[in-house]
Amino acid sequence: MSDWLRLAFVFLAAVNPAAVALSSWAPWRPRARPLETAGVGFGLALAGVALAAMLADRLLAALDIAPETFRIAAGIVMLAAGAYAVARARVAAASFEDGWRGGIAPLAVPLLFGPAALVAAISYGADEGAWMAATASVAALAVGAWLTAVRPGRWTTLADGVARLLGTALVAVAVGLIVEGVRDI
Amino acid sequence: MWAFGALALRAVVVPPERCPPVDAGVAMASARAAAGWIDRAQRPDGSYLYEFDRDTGEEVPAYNVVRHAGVTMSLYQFAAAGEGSAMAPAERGLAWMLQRQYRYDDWSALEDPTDGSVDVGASALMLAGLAQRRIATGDGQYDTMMRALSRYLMAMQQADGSFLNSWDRTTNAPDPRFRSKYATGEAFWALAMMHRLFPGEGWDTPTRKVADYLSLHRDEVEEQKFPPWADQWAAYGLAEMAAWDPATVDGGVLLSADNVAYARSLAERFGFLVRAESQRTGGRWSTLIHGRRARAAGMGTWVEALGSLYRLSLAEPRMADQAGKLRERLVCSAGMLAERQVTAAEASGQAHAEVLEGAWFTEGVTRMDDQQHALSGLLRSRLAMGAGERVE
Repeated sequence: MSDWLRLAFVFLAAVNPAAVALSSWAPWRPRARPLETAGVGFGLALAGVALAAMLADRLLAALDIAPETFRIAAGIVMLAAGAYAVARARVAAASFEDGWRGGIAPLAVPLLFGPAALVAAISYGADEGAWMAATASVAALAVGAWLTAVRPGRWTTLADGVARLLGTALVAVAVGLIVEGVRDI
Repeated sequence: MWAFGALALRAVVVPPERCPPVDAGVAMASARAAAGWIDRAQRPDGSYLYEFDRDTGEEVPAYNVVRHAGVTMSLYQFAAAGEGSAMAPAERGLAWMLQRQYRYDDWSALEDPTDGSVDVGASALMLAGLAQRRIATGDGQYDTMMRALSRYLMAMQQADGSFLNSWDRTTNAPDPRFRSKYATGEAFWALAMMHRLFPGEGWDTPTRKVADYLSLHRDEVEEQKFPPWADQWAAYGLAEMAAWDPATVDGGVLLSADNVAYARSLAERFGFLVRAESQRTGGRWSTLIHGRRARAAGMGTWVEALGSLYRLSLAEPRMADQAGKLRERLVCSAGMLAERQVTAAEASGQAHAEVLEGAWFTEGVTRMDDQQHALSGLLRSRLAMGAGERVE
């Protein structure tokens, strides 16, 4: 697996589009959300990832943290997010409104650009470069945003399973990141 | 919620990593102050002040022959780095060891005067000290003694390259009950230097056997819970092997792939130790969450190891990708060491100022190997700051 694909998978697990979708598909609201909301959410979340990745080196330098050490912190955050997804198959978020306001919050932050995506952007931005991190996150963010514009219907059960599976994957990624952080120089 | 999480993370997992500024001059001055402590605290018979408690103002009545050999070796390292003033206390320390030799068959070993034990670590470090002396002076008057000590090490080496630690004077054989997690690496480095100084005498063969044992089997055989065992002596030995003349070894291959893989794992271990240490402030919260600050005898070994591995990364292409990070951790750890040393100004006017200045204290106590390892580490760190030599 190429580095880019590996990173795209990490962001898929960190963003967890299925959990994002489940958080937006309220059972009392069976219709799809407007694409406008998804578009705003995607754009802002991508900007957030790109900005975090671009500023990663400067941020870590300002905080006096080596990228290797930050991997441990990132792993811990991702571990918690992954465990939450496994248990709840949702992303913890406030109530969801349609329109561009809903695209900003909660869709962009914290559904798409949540703590796991933030620390992934910083950690991988510092290690692999901002461009690589930002482009690798596009697919996960796009799928997550698009799913909110899909009519829930029969996909809920499938999304629940996928969300927990991606949560498990995030736990595995997090453990790997912690081990990498401990084992690096 | 985010802010709370970020604060908790900052306080518990990623507090700032502090690397005090240091350059080659500061490192050398700090090393000089450490050597000054050893010199001032040396007794007329050549032994050193072992341990001092500044809160009680008393010496701790104990001694350790391995540490004696180690302190003497560090003084010779200092002399090899061009500091002539280290020779006099080193020579007194050597005389103390020469008076305590146990001889059997064709070998000689350093005997512990307190219990008569004859262990590998003490003799290996005595040999390492003599090797450093030879590098410093070019004087061959102890070459015979070096070979005799080396033959003792060979007598203690097992077929798999490992060492048993103690000679059993009743059976006249190595005691199979005892191994030491320190002595194997010490013997490794000493034998590696024997090959540098006396190529063609065959010291590379036992050296390679130890290197392979350390690289492949030691952690398992000796049941290290968190491998690899953070062995700075192994790092010294590997760096020494990498500096051998390829023309003096079979096939010209200095380090095997397993040796390099082991060196890389050591680099990772020591790098992590330094990162963790740089987060410790010594305050209550830091101590509660991240543990007590390492004593200089511990942190000094990390600096020695990183200094050795940095040399290795410059000499060995398969380690070259680690050079930048090794340099960064090496300079950071040297800076921490230098900053934590008691300065002349801090010692001035206090009772027992002569055994405060130049020392490192942990919970009010300093031991001679605090100064030994810090001195050696600071010397070896200078290469990363544009000073010193790769062959030191």
